Amino acid sequence: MALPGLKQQLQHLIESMVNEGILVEQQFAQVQELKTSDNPNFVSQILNDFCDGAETSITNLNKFLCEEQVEFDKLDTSIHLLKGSSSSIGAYQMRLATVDLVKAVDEKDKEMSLEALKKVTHEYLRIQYKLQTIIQLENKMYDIESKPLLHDGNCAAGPSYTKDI
Amino acid sequence: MGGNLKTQSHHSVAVRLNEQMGAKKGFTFIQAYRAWFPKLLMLWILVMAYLSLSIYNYMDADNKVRRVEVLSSMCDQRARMLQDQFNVSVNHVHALAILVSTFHYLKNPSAIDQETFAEYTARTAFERPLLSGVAYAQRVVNSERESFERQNGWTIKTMEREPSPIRDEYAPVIFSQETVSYIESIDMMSGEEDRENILRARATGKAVLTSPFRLLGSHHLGVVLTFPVYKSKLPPNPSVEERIKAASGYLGGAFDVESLVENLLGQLAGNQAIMVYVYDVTKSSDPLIMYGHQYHQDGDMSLLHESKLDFGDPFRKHQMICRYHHKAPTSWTAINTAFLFFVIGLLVGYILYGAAMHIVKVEDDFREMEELKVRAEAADVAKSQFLATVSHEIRTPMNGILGMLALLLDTALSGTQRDYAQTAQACGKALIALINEVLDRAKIEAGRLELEQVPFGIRSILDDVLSLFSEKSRNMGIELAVFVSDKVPEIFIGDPGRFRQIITNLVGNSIKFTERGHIFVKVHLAEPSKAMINGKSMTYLNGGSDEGVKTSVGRQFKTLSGCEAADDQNSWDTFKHLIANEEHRTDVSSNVAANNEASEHVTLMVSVEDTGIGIPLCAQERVFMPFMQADSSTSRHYGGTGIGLSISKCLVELMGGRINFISRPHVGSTFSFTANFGRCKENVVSDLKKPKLEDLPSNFRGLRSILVDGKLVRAAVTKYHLKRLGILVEVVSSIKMAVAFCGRNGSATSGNIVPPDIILVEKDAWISGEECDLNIQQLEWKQNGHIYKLPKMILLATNFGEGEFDNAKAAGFTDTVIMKPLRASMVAACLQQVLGIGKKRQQGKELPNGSNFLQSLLSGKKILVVDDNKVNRRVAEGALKKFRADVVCADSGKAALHLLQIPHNFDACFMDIQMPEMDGFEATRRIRQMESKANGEINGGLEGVARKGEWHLPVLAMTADVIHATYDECLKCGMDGYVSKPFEEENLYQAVAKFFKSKPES
Repeated sequence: MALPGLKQQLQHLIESMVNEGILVEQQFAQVQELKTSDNPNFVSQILNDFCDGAETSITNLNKFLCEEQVEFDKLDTSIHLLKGSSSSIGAYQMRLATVDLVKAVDEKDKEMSLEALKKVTHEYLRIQYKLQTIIQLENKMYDIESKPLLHDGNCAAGPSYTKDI
Repeated sequence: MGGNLKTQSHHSVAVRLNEQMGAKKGFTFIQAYRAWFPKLLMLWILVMAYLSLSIYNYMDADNKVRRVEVLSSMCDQRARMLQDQFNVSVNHVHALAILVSTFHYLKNPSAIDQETFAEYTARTAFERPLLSGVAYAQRVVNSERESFERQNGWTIKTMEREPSPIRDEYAPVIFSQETVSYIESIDMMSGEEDRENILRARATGKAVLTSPFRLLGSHHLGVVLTFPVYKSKLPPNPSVEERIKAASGYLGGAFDVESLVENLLGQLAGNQAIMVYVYDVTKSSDPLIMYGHQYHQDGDMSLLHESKLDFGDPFRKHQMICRYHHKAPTSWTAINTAFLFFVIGLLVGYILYGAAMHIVKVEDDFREMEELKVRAEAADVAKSQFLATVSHEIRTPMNGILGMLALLLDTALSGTQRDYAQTAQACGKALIALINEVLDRAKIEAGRLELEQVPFGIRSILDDVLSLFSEKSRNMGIELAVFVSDKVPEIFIGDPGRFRQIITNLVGNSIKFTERGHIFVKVHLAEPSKAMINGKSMTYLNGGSDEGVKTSVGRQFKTLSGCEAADDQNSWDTFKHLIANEEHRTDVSSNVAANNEASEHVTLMVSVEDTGIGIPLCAQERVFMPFMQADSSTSRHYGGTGIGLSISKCLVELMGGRINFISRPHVGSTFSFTANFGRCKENVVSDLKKPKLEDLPSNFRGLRSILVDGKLVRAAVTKYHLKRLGILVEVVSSIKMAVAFCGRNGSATSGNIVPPDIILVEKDAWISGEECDLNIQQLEWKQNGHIYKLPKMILLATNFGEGEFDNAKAAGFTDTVIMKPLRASMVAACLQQVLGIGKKRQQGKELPNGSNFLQSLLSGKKILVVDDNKVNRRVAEGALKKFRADVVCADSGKAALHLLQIPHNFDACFMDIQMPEMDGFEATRRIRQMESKANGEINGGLEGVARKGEWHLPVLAMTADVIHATYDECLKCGMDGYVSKPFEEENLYQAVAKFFKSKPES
């Protein structure tokens, strides 16, 4: 697919996510802005990191919460990780779910914690699917963009290609 | 923490109070015995009373003794007289008895009969004044009675005038004085008293007395004297029997004691004063009164005198008792003396007591006042502490509110909602700013504010402040300029934040109240007054010639903008001397400079001059009081709380300086202050840092320029900025002169002298309509075929009206226009653009203003990002890299510590707070520990290899949680600030600007 098409597709996807309320436009835009010529893979990298981290955290949380005697103190690190990373990329619904989880863990309520974790997992799965799409689109765009650069000896990449997103 | 602080401060207040009380422990003697005073007073009064009583007694005793003496002498006198008189009478009776004996018994027939006796006694009565009368009773034994009765022709009668019953013996009266004739023929033996008397008399042969009784005739008290008459001569020592036998009759006389004594006393002086009693005390248990009123008990009972009376009867005892008629008269002298003494004593006592009480009271009051004072001071401190605490406590929830608003803004909001939320956020930020100001003031008042001591460069700070206000000043068309004298060192040690705060405050104020003209910040060394005086005197010398110039264009003043200023200090007349002095000094007297260098401190004199509305005279003294504005309408017109100046004052005082101002209403105000800063000792270091410090490109060094400006002060300012860039400046007052200058350079001895690289023209110099000249000149240069490139034309302007910009371009300022206020860095940027030199990397991407600035700040800085969250770490890394920082990441506190082993070459560290194992606070603490250790070693002289004077890595906390991680908490563990996550440019800028601007070495 051509570059403009991919860009448009990406934009539509993000717009729909924003409209659904699962993504905060500003924050995600900020992440996107951080993509520079020096670091063209930034968005996909960070989203991958996010997914990896979130999956690890959720697995950990599940493990800890399913134990007979829940050691709530152990949960903090994973929850904090979830909360921080979701707010960083602007995964709004997930962040809200995490806040509930924090509350439940603070109260040391196993039932509520499990419930909240279920919700977090649900929200994660919801966004994960879309994030994967974004990652794919980004990768495709990266492939397309890097190719001509290989042919062109001039390394000065157009400085403004991130600007249009 | 707030609570902790509070208790601590309370404790300190209490301690101070105790100390104050302790200081007053040196009780005076009076204070120590205050409870004794009333008792002492009572004691004193008692002593005085006792003393006065003694005095009285002493004086009275004297009187009494005299009185007793008088009484006794009077009494004795009376007694003696009475006794004498009595004895005289008795003697007469005795004589009478002998007469009777002689002429009645020894003569036969008797020579005496009743008539003779009566005659004789009557005629000799004067001899017996005490006797009412005398009578002679003959002794008649019972056997002789009848013959006797017959002989005399009457019967013997008893006292009751009845014929006497038969007895052994009778003593009928045969002769009697006429005064007592009624007792004739009465048997004297019939009366008990008389009988006893008779018996006793004849037994003793002496005069005897009866006990007192009422006399028959007068009913006066009296006694009867009985004297025996013997028939025959008695033997020399007759026995009692002989006497009884010899007794032939008895002579008796009645003493009317009462009238007797009365008469006697009547003859004596002082009769009224004393009362006299005469008693028969034969039976001592039952004294019989002979004279005196038995029941008349008034008179002075306390004092009496007894005198013995001897009436010649050994059987009977009599005594006279005298007493004063009246009680002893009160001795007024004694009373007065005693009373006066008492009163005086009382008064003295009371005065002493009053004085003591007064002292006690005054001391008490003093202590109370002291206590109140201490309490008031404590209250004042407490107020400030309260303010500080409360402000702090307000800040926390405010941060929460702001954080929540920020979160709210991130949610899906409608346009209106977003607008509301943004407004709320803006208001909240304004409120936080205000609270911070209040907190500052409170902290200063509570003495909790401490100034930092870090090296900083004043010029960059001033540029920074200028940039803050540049937008505003441009919009208002005000000239805003900064001038720092060359003598002011590049860097010195002090608190850059606070210094900036003062300047910002003053300039902000000036901008607020200025509508036209200029605002001019000038910094120079506070000179020992000599140079200033020199300058001034010269000014006055030159004054005359300058006047003319001044008046040429209406009222044009030689200030920055030509408007009149309140203080002449900054007008060219004094200004040029300042500059001249400097140049002179740097040229000639390196000694003086060396001296200056040697001193520990630098005292800066900073003045901020504006041409605003000025401060009304009446309000001038209140200017530095908190929350005071010229009048209440000021805050309505111009806004603000009026706390800024008072904070500035406090800060200036903390810096060891003074702030004052000169203001003329409708002319302007000039605020000036002095401040002490430490001189940066390491000259070498500062030299090395110089280019880095200013962060100004050095590739303009050696460029030559001509500045066209008619206003000398303004020209000096422009020159100052250009000089900082290393550009040589030649100032000319008009374009004509510039042309001439160029022309001269161009035509004369070609080759050696180069035409200027830049020509800078002030807008108003250009407007005066000489642009054609320039064009001509340019053409000339072209025609001459100079090998050198043409000088770049730059227009300096404060603001542009409509179309002016196009005009300027048309007029030949094709190169650029620099908008004022001038800042060295900005000028540099423009020149870079114009001259096309020193362009490192020209990016097509246009960043907004703040980003540009951030980029300049962060570019090339080596920054460590510590975060356990990979996503966050990446975001932070990306954000910092965007501003061309050199970013290194660490995923835990431990890793960060490892990377930060000294020596390292990081410029800053962004630290996540919430991390497993070692959180950001702990990590920062460890970093600081390492640093202090390293610093200690450096200072210990172990190693002189130091990248900077001291290791202090700026550590900024990263936290998503504005509510929890308050600024103070971060500061407590040694962090320098915090940025909220995710990174916002504005936030990042604020946090970063603080270090990379004010810290020259980073």
